[in-house]
Amino acid sequence: MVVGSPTDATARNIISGNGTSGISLGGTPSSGNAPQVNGNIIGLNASGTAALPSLSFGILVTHAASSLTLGADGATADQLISGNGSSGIRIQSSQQVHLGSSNYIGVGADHVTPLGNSGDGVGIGGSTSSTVTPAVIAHNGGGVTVAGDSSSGILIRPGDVHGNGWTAVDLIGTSGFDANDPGDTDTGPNTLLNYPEITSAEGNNVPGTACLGCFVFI
Amino acid sequence: MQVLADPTTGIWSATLPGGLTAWDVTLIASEVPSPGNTSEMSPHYTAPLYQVFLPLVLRNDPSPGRDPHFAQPRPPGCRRPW
Repeated sequence: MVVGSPTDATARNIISGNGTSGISLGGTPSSGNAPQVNGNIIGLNASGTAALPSLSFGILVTHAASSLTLGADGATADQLISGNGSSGIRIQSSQQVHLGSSNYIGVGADHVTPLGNSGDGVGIGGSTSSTVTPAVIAHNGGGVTVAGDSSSGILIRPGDVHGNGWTAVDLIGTSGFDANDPGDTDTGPNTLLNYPEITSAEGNNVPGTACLGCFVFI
Repeated sequence: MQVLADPTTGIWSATLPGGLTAWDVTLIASEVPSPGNTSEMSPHYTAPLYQVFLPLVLRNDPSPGRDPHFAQPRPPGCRRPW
């Protein structure tokens, strides 16, 4: 199943103004029929200049497919998910979801104008091994929120997160910022992985510590 | 930019682009490629303190009809609408 097109913006759908979610992906598809949702406008008018919200999520995923792509990397048709009454994207599937770099969440067609979703840009509960790498997450109620101990292996590396009403990335151990714990023995979404620490700062040379063998994104 | 922490000590070091200092950046750790867990963003470092800047914005107006999701149960530990 394909909704929209990754390369042809004229094939995009305007999915806005609905009484619940704009798109709800549920059930179990046949093998080899993993859904893709690319290049659409979800929660805005056709020109992408004003909110035309669906009252709940822009996209709700409860899908049992093992591979689901929303806004593929490298797609030339951008996908706007903005202005909706709750989160832009809510993933409540235990399966792998790839949320790629052609998604612009909370902004208009110019990729700048604030048209945030009322809830989080992306809310995840229970997914494993998903990737969250949209181009922009801005002006939403929150940035990326991950809840539930069963949420694990979720790579979060959006291109630009700014202007949201809550922390950029919130792993819900406690709501909001979770301080590092010695030895990183706590549990929770993404194991409540400790964030990197800077140990001293002098000029533009920055040393620090992080989990063993981890990448540190700056 | 990205750097790799030592697999034994966890120590890393980065040289920021010209004009940037530790005061200008936040950090995120990721167990890449596997198992892929990613941390929250680090608080802003202002020696000798780490500071967290939380915007004072009330999200998700709980007024009836404003947010149909608001009435759904919150995840364990979550003290706010999500």
